Amino acid sequence: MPRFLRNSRLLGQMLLLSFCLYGAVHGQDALPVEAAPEGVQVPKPKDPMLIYLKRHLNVQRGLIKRTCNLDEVDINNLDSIGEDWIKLELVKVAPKQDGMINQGVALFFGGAPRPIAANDPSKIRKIQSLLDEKLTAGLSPEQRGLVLEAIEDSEKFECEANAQVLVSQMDKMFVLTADQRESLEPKIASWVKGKSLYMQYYTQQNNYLPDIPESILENTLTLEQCKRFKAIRKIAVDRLSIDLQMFQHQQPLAEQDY
Amino acid sequence: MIYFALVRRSLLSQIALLLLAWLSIASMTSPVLFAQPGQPDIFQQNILQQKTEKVFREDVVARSHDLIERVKQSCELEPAQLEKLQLAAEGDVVRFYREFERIKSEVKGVNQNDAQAFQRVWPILSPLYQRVQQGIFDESSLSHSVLKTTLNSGQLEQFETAEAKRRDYAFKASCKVAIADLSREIPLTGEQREKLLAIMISVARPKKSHLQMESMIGMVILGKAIKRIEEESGLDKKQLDHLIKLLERVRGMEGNFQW
Repeated sequence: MPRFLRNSRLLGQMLLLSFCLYGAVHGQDALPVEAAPEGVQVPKPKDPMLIYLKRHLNVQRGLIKRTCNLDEVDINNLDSIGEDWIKLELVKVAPKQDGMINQGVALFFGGAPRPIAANDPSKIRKIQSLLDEKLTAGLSPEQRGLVLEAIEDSEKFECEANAQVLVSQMDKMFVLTADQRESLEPKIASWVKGKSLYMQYYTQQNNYLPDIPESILENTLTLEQCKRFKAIRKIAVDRLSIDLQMFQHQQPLAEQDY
Repeated sequence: MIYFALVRRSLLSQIALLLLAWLSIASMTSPVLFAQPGQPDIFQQNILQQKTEKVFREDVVARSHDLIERVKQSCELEPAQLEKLQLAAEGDVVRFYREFERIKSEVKGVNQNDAQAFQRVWPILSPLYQRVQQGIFDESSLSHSVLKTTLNSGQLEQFETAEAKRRDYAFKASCKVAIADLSREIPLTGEQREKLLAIMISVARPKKSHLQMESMIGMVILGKAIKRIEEESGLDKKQLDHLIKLLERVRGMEGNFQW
């Protein structure tokens, strides 16, 4: 056999060996699936979306009961909406089939295919609004108005709280005057409306801010402050996604039916 | 001629193959102590936080002037006072960079993903990391000591008042966000939220806390004020039981704050 052909074969073998070794060292090991001992029933972990939505149901139902004067029929109607209804809605929005993401070349290096993430925040939001509609459907227009007002108040409170935390963080990062704090607060409160930011992320470190548009700040901040704001790393940490991830690994500490 | 070309080529390719084999096996089996191009450098990741050294220095210099800015916002400064404070700020930057360079020379180039190397150098890196996270120029800085001897009593009072307002604002924000978080678990009416906030604000607040604990302040305050919450907040039994269960997660955390 000509020498150059022998070398190409050797090169091929070397490359194969390298890939195998690389796969062995860096590749994700398959986790051994331990079989449960006979007769022992392993509790099936709850769906994080179900836990999240059940919490939302409890809070909204509790709020309705505390906002309106309800008769027994209304209360029974509210209590009849439970986990089963949420499960039904979750089935409706579930993907048709659980596909696998093809990781391309990663598979060649020993990576395992991953299932498509089922925890889709947009689906949760959709079910949340359906749930709110269902909970308030049986109420009189007056009661419905009271409940919507209470929900709006709660959201406004949260927006103000988040805005104050962000302003306070900015103050730590590039020193705001009292007037600047006062002026920025409502602007940021209206920007955070509808966003589910995970505030703990921003308070636990002095290096990150969410991606607040500069146009909101530039009339209030000085040029130097604007320059420092631009230099800060921006990251949007979605609270809903964090909650879902948390519920995937641990059950809520305390649940209460309202 | 053709044969010679083939022999030379084969010799070159054999050297190349040996090199390739050595590189691939060495990179897989031996622990990678130093960061290779494309691998995360421990100093770059944790101290510079992916900024260039130039941008990081600009940030440090700007932060060193924050105290002066806070003083200027609260009272008028004489040129001599300003000069003294600026000198102190420069001194702080020099002191910081002395530590920065020493630690950088010890850990620069260590691969963040190499667990063994990480464990070895983290104790060296950790104090600087804490400092960058917590605020480079804290109360132990030269600027803070110089400030106390440079301002007159009237200026100091004005400065302290402004700083107290700043702290109040931050504390109220922490309390409000804790109540907003609670509203995701417990159905609270507007009135209950306002009462909770009023109680929390009136409770003794921590003088100092670690940055990582900042987000827990609100919950810790709720725990401290639980007796008053039971009596004054208007929360019913179900809500109170739920709150007490939720507060389990911050039990014992009071010790992490300076009261």
